[in-house]
Amino acid sequence: MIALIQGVLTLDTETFAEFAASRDVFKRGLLIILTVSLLMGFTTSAIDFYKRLTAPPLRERMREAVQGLDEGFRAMRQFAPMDPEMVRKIRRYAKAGIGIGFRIAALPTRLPKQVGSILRAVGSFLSAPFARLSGWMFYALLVLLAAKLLGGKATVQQMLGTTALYSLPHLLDIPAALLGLIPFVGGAARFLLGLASLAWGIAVYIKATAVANEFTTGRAIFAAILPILAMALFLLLVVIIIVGVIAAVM
Amino acid sequence: MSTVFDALRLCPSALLLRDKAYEEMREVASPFTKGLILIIVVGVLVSLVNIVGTTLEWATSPSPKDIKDVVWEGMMEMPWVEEIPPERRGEIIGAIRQRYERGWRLFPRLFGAPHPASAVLGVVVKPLALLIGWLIYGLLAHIFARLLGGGARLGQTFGCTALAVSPQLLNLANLLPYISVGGVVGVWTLICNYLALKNAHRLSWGRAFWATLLPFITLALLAIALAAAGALMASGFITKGGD
Repeated sequence: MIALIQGVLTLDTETFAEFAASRDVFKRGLLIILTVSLLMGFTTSAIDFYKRLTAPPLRERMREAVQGLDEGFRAMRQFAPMDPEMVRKIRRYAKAGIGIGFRIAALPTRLPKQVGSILRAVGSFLSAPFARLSGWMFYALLVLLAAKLLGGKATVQQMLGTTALYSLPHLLDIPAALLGLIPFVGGAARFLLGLASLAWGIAVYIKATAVANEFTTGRAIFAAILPILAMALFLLLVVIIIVGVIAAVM
Repeated sequence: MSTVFDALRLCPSALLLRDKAYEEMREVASPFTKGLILIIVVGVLVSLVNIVGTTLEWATSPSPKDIKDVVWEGMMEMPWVEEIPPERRGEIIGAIRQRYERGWRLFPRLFGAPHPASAVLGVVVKPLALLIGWLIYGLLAHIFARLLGGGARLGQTFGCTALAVSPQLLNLANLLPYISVGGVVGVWTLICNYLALKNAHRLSWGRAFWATLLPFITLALLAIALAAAGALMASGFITKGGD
């Protein structure tokens, strides 16, 4: 396993080729992506739980939210003059809205509130892998289609299995989330590590596409961005059609 | 009982996209019957588990009635109330309250507010929905696969596409509340359907791809045509009514 991780992170062609040719490549890829997602989910859930434990009481948080709103208005007033009556009205609407949210959070439930909090935390922890799986599967299918049109040779199992390796550099997101807890410098450190894992993940994805399809890197890059280009073009067409219809009606 | 276990036996392999699961289903004695049992068993299993998850979610959420009252109280604190002339305030707020109450009788159910009763209803609705979807998709997919040069019998197509119900087993995670399985079931089902048609009809990837997608395209076109026909009929009625 360590050899596999090392080979993937160093973009070693042989490691990718062996992985793509292995029996049950989809199952192996799926297990990797699930493990990475659960590890990441565990970290973020633990951080959320810590934040919830150390959070001030509900009344205090509501006061802070209204205070934040007032500060926002003060900052906005520095850039553009605002009618004080309008500001007062918006503030009252926002305050009532915030109040609704907090009062709903304080409503009693049939089971003790703590049971609900634990179940919600477990739910969000276990939901993270599903979200990652659906994005990975959907995009890999689009890239596979693009690759096939460019002469690629991967099967659906090989494509899904090998592209799942993109998740390995995202293990960096775990220390990034922990670094985020450090005051002042934590945010910047988290951003930089996140950026590094994203770029590394993209590089692994392109390598996996190239090896699974027996492609050059150039073709793999094209296959990987073709779905984005196609979607952008489709969106542009939809916008043009909608604008055209509106113009014709008016 | 052994029939049920036998039907479920191929599910893990089908879920892991192993071609041999689909090939085995192609060669069994009565693939349609086996597929039918599989669809019903998976549907019932998933909906039974969902009853537990939904009940837990219902028991850990505030009651919709309490939420309704809190939202109304909040609305009454907003400045719009003071903008209504005092002499008409009671009458206008009364009318709004009536509509608000009517909306609250409908919206929580419509937007999936958890309730054990609706989860119990799912034991009938879910398998039935899966069954209808399987029959329509299987038939259309068979027609397109045959047009594209496929060689499977109708029963074999149904048997193999029934295995594409396997990703529904991911919904077993709903034993716990607040878990969102999301779109992964849909994408995974699509991939399983592709493998089912590819293996049942022994098609090339390109032909299997079109055989998988064409039923959806046909159904979408049919829905658009029906909606357009409905809109035309409605506009005809309105015009007649206006005359």
